[in-house]
Amino acid sequence: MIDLINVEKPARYTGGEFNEIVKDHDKMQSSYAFCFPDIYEVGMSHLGMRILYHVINRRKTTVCERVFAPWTDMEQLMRANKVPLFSLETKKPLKEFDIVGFTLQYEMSYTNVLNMLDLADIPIRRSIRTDEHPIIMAGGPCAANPVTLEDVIDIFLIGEGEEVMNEVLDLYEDGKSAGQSKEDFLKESVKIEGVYVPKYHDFDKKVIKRIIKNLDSVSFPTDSIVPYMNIVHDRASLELFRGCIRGCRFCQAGYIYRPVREKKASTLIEQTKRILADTGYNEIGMVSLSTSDYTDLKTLCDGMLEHTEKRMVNLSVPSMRIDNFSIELMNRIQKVRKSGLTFAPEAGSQRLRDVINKNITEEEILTSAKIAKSGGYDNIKLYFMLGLPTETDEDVIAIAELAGKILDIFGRKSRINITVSTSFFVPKPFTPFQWCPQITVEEMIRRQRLLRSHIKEKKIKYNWHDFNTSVVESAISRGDRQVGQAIIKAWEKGCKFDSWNELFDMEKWEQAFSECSLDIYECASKQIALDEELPWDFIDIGVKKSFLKNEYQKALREETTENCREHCNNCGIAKYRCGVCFEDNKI
Amino acid sequence: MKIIRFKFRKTEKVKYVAHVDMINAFSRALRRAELDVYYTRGFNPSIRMVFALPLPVGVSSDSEYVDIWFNTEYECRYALNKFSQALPDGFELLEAYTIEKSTLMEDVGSAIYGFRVNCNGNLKKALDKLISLDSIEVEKSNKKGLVNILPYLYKIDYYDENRFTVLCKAGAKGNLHPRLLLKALEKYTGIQVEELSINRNKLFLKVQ
Repeated sequence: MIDLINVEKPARYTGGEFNEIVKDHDKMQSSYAFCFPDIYEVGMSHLGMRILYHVINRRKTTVCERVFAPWTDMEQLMRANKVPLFSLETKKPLKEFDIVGFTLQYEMSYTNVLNMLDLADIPIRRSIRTDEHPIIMAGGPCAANPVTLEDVIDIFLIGEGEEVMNEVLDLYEDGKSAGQSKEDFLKESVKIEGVYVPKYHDFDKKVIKRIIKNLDSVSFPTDSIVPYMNIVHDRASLELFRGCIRGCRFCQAGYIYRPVREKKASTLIEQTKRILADTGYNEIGMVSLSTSDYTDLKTLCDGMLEHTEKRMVNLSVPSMRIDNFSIELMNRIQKVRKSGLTFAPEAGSQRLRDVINKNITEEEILTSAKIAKSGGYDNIKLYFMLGLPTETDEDVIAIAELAGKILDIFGRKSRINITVSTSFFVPKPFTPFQWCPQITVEEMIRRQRLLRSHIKEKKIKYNWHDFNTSVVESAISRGDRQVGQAIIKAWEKGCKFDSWNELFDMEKWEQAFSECSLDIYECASKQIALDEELPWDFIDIGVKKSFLKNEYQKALREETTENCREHCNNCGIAKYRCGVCFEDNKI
Repeated sequence: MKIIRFKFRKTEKVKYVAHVDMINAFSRALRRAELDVYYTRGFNPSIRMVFALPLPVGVSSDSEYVDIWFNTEYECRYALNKFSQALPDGFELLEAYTIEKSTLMEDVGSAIYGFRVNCNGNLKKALDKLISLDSIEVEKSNKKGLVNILPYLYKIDYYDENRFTVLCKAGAKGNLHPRLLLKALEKYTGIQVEELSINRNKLFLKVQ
C-alpha cells in the first residue's frame, strides 16, 4: 500500500468517515464501485452520489463503495508502487468489482473517467475488455448525450437513477446466480427502460429517460456520510424538488430534469429532523435548481427553522432567484448566520434576458438589491454569461451598467462589495440553444475586455472564466463518436483534471482533435442547421424536439415563454403524468 | 456552566484526520449526542472546547485531552457515555472528570512518543550518538530556520531495532515535533530512517 504520510490531504484516501457503510463482500451477490471522476472534496459534495450510494447499499444483496480520482501526487505514488485504484471502504481494487459506475456531471471530467479506468488496470475501450473485466456503467446529466463516451462505457442509465439502478442490479444478480455472462446481461438489460447499451442498441427505438414520479416515496439519505476533511459543500443537503419551471433557454438542467416534482413540506421537515440527529451538521443546504420556486416555502422554512434554530444550525439557500426573493424569507434564513448574496441575472440587458427567457426585469433586480440593502448585506455576487446567442456590444456594456445601478442603490460610500463574474455560453444538448454556435476565442477575448473597460468602480470586482475550457466544454458537450476518439487521444497525451486550471492544457486538446481530423474551435463554434440530425436524437428526454425548435425561434424573435406554473407550453413532458403538469389539474 | 475534561485515544484508523477536522468531527458528534453544549457568541457560534496539544497528521495517540463546556450540570459518566456513542469509530473516550477552570493548553508539560521505524543502520548506536551531542540543529517543520532540539529532549529509550520511545518537552512554551527527531537522526548519524508509525503514548499535564 501507499504511505499516506507522503501525500497531500491523506484523508482523501482513508475512508472511515461517520456513516460510511462497510459490508462483507463474501455475503453479497454483487459489488458496485461508485466512481466520481474528480477529487474527494468535489465528489463528496455531490448529492446524486450520496443518494445512489444509499439506494444501492439499502439492497441486502449489493455492496456499494466509493471511488474518487486521486490527485496527481497520489496517482504518481500509485503508479510507482503499482497500486491499482481502490475503493475507500474496503480498499478493494476496482477490477474486483462486478460493476464500475461513473457519474458524468460535467464534460471536463471525462478524461478523469479514462484515467481512473487506466489506474484501475481496466482497458478504457470496451472492445478490448472481456468477460473478466467489470461492467462499466455511466449516468448523470452528461449521459443525456452518451455518444462521446460510447466506445468506453458498456451501459448508460439515462435519467434519474433510484429505480432503474435497482432494476439493473436485480437483473445482473439474477443472471449472475444463473451463471450468465456479462454479455448475456448487457443483451438482456436493453429491455429495461432508460438503459442504453451501445453494443446492443436497436436504433429504430429511442432510449426513454427515467424519472421518479413521486419524490416523497423514494428514500432519501438523511444519514449521509460526514467527511472529516473540509469539502466543497460542507453541509447536509436536502433536496426540495427536481426540475425547474423556468425554462431558461441556455440551461440544460432546466429541460432534462423536467417536470418539476416537489417533495411535500411535511416530508422535508421530517427529513430535516433526521438529518440533524444522524449527521450533526451545523448547516443544511436547501438544494434544487431554483429553491425560491418551492410552492410552500413559508411553511417549509417555518417548519425547518423550528428544529434548526435551537440547535444553532444554519440554513443555506444556494439557488435563489432574484425576482421572487422576499425580505421576509431573507430575514428568516439569516437569523442564525448571515452570508453574502448571489444573484444570476445572466444577461445585462432586458433584450438579451428576453432572448434567453430569463424572465426578470431590471426593476425586479433593483428591487431585490434594495431589499438586500435593507437586510444589511454588504456582499453581492452577480453572475452573467458572455457570448449568448444574439449578444451585441450594447448587451455586454449593459452588464457593467446593471452592476453600476446596483452600486448606486447601496451608495458609492457604502461598505458594499459587488463581484461580477462572467462565464462563456456553452451550447448544450436538449436546450433550445443546442443549435447555436459558441462565439470564437477572438470574440471571447474582445467581449471580456470590452466589459472590463466599462467596469470602472473600485467597489465592483470583475472575475472572468477561462475561455479555453469553455471551448473544450462546447466541443465535447455537442460531440459525436469522433469527438469521443479525440477525448481518448487527449487523455493519452496526458490530459486529466481539465476543470482544474493548473492542469488544463489547451495545446494537448488542440492536437488531440486535429489528430482525429477535427478542429476543436470549429466543433465548439459550429452552427447546426435546424433540420440536421443530432447525435443525441435517439435519446428521448421527454421534451419534444419541435418544442425546442420553437423555443429557439422565439428566442431569435426576442419572445419570452411563460413558466410551467403560469401556463403549460406543451413541451411534451406531461406524458410522464406527474409533477407540475398535474398541479391544479392544469392539463 | 460545567467544564468536563475528557481523555481520549486517537487510533491508527483516524490518525490522518487533521486537528481542525477533528474539532469539526467532535462538534458534530456532540450535536448528534444532543448534549447541551455551550456555544460561543458572535457571528459564527461554535461549541466551546479546548484541546491540549494538536497532533501532527499521521500520528496516533493514547493520551489526548479536551475540555468541553456544558450548560447543564451533567454527571461525567453520563456525558462520557452519550458522547462516546456519537463519536466516529477510531476515537475512544477513556476518562471524564469535572474541572473548575480550564488551563489545558498551558498545563501541557511533556510527552512520550513511541516510534516504529525501519532503518538501514544500527538504531541503538544512532540514538546513543544523538543524545550525546552538544546541540541538535534541524530545520523547523515550517521551514523557517533552524532550531536546536536538544533542550527539548529529556530521555530516549531503545526497545529493539525498530522501536524506541522519546520523553520530551511539549506544549505552548516549547514543543518537540516528533518528526523533527527523525530528521535529526538522519542528519547527525547518517542512517536512513523510514517512519512506520508514531504514537503519542502519554501527555503529561501539570497538576492544577
